[in-house]
Amino acid sequence: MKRLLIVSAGLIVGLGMRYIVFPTIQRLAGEVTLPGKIPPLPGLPSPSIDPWDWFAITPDNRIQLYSPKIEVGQGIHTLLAQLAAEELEVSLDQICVHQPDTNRSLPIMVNVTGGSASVKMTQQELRTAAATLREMLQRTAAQRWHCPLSDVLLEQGYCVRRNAPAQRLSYAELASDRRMLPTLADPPYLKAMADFKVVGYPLPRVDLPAKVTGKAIYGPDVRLPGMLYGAIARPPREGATLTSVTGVERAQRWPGVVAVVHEAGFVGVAARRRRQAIEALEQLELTWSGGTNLSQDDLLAQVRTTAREGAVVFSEGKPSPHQPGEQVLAAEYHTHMCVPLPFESPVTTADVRADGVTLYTAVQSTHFVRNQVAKALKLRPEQVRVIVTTVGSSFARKHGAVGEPSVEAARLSRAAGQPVQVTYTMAEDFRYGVKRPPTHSLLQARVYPDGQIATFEHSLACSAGASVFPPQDKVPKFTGVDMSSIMGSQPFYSLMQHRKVYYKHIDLPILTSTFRSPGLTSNVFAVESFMDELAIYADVDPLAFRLRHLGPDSLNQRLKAVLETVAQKADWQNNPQIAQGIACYAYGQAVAAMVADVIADGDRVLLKRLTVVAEAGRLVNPDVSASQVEGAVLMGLSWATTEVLEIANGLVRTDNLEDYRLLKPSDAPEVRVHLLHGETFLSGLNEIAAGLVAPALGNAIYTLTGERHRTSPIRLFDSEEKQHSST
Amino acid sequence: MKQLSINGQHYEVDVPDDETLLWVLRDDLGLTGTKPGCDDVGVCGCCMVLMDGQPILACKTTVAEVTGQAITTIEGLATTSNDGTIHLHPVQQVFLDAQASQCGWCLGGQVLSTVALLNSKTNPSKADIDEAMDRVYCRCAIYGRIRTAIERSVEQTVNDATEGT
Repeated sequence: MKRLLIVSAGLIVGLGMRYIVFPTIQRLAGEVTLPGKIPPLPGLPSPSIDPWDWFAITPDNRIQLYSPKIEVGQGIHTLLAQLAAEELEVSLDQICVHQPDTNRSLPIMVNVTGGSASVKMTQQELRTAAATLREMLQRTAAQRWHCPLSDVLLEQGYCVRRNAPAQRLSYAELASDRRMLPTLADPPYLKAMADFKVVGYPLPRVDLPAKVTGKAIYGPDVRLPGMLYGAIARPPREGATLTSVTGVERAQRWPGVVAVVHEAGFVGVAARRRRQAIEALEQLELTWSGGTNLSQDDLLAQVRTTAREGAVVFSEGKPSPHQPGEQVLAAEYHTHMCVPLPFESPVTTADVRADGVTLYTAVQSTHFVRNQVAKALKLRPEQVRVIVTTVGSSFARKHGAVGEPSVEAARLSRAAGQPVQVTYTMAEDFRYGVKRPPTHSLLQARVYPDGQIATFEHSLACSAGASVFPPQDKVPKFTGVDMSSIMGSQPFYSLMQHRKVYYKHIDLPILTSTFRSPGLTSNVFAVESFMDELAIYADVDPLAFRLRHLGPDSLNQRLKAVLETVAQKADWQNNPQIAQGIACYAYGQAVAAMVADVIADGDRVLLKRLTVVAEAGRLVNPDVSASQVEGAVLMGLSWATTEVLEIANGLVRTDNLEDYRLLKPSDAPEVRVHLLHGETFLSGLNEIAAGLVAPALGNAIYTLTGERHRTSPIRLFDSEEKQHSST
Repeated sequence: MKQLSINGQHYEVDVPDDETLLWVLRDDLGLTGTKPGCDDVGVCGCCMVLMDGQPILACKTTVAEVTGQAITTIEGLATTSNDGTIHLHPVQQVFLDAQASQCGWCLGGQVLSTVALLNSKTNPSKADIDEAMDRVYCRCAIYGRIRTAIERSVEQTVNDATEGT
């Protein structure tokens, strides 16, 4: 298999690849550069360091930790509990972690949970708050015993007097009257990281016992006295509006119906049984108008760019001089739409009363749903309380800004005078939820005869990501740029003499939005596959080719470390029976590299193993991080190989798991994860790995077969190759 | 009135014959550990329960079909002793030990699918394990850990059986 790696440039062209080889690059007219910098987005507020914003100590001597970050399955509750336990000198099982509730006092924006940034955003404040509480308790004990502070030892939730172990006071006893606790004049002592006994260890997750017994209460598990179920009329085409409704009385008379609401282009029914609500809704005759009637091919045809079209979103270095014999290489990449599809579909239970609204909901941030419900019901945001339930995963689906049922549930509850639960069906989630934006990438590179890249240009067309919600919704209007759609588009290799990314924003008539690993699962496919094409053109091993373009800066050195480690762990290019492909990238402050191992199985390509090495500085719990990487890899593999959302006549056609295929569990290859460790908390590892799968796999398939895949998904598991018009 | 036996308890529900077990469990009996996932098309496996020890999809089964049968849901696997201590089913413990879950939505289905595998085979082959795995999808996609948990459960059962003889 190894021989396939070493091919000459002539052979690439000779194989009829979709390479366009230009004699020289030309300066193209119409280049748009952003006027100055992209305006800085408002930062998220810092969490409080007041212990009572974070903790309560209950009479059972357990620490209640009110997490500002939402557990959606990524393990954040465990990580925050470990950070708190470390400073409080308690064991992990003495801490009980709660999902956010807007009645708690931490600033609401703090609970925006995403970007693999939760630990980085909170660890300093959480540790400070925990250490403050510890010292307040310790000082209280010292006062009671009239002893020096240094004589108060801490043992598993108790203050114990040195040399007098019979003198013990529980944290709960000491904190029984908060007003009696002293305030600290100086910042508390924070443990040195070298002394950590809880942080940095692979402790079991705190959320799993309730999940494995079926006791955890997820969004649709909420049951309130008198709770009704809602069913909502939804358009036959994306963007259609309701023009007339008849049969309201018939629906109202349907058994079990408590309210039929028709207001502001909205029609919904609340009934005692789920099924009654659906049946009553079917009694209505609804007329819709407008909306898009576009189909897959029309939509994808809109997502097109040309070289150097749109705004310059990244530019490093200066164009270097031309050399005789240099080549310009170009290739086009496409990715299709797919969906996050958490199995717990978006859901809200709303309880609207005269004195305010309570929403029980499974979301990734509370403020979007709060603000929307307040606006719809003409209330102040403070009158809307949001209580987050256990969340059955999100993958950015449940950011709460669009495509979710909180306002609908609130309208129905207001009319019925009873709590109402509205759940998207999976079909509704496919149709009316967010999709990963489709992309078109045009890559061009000028390569010197010695194989060094002189310029690397990426021209990207993509639709809305983060710009479907505030504050990013204002950005494309002023700059033509979507802040999440461009992620993953830049090459990080600092020894390329000139790197530039152009972005063309496409307004699509369907709802695309940000996604787990925003941008990465499409853009890194283009960038890292093209790197492979260039390596093969230059006749250099793809690993060596990457390494020789990495510079001395810290980010590049970290990329070098993960690349070299993954090469070693995966026994890079050392086994003639296995064809391999490699890819690396950085996201936030995490870096990762992946090697895919494939073999031929008759005329099929068999994916044997994916090896990943990731590094994100210091990790709170390496096993939680490893699990995140493992999941991201296989979810990334599902997106990269089987998942395609198809639109026909303005509506999603692949709206169930028979048509929209996920990676079959038994098809999952072995995933080997190795984590490297650093000194400081840089990032989580939820997202970085997902974007590496498509390029590593595509590169491995090229090694094996000489066939280059430039469209994702790469249909690895299909018995019959499904053709898409844009390929 | 339909007579149902769930987790060793007797229930009577007044629902139409064609109401599926999934929604009766969740909406009438408050047993929300059984999860809906794929609009009752029967692919995701999150609503798996056991009927007389065999795996069935609650979304594909009407209450009429389970009348008189012993149904086990995820809530019925662990036992609670008089002092309130919860004793997990060995398969639940293995899934915890392997940390084979993230969001937990499919976890009940995964555990019950494994229990069903052990009920039906004394020494399951890799193909049997693959078949058990394909009964339940995990959107968090930590299939390596799930496979490990199933294999360890099998190992444990085989060892227990060997020790018992």
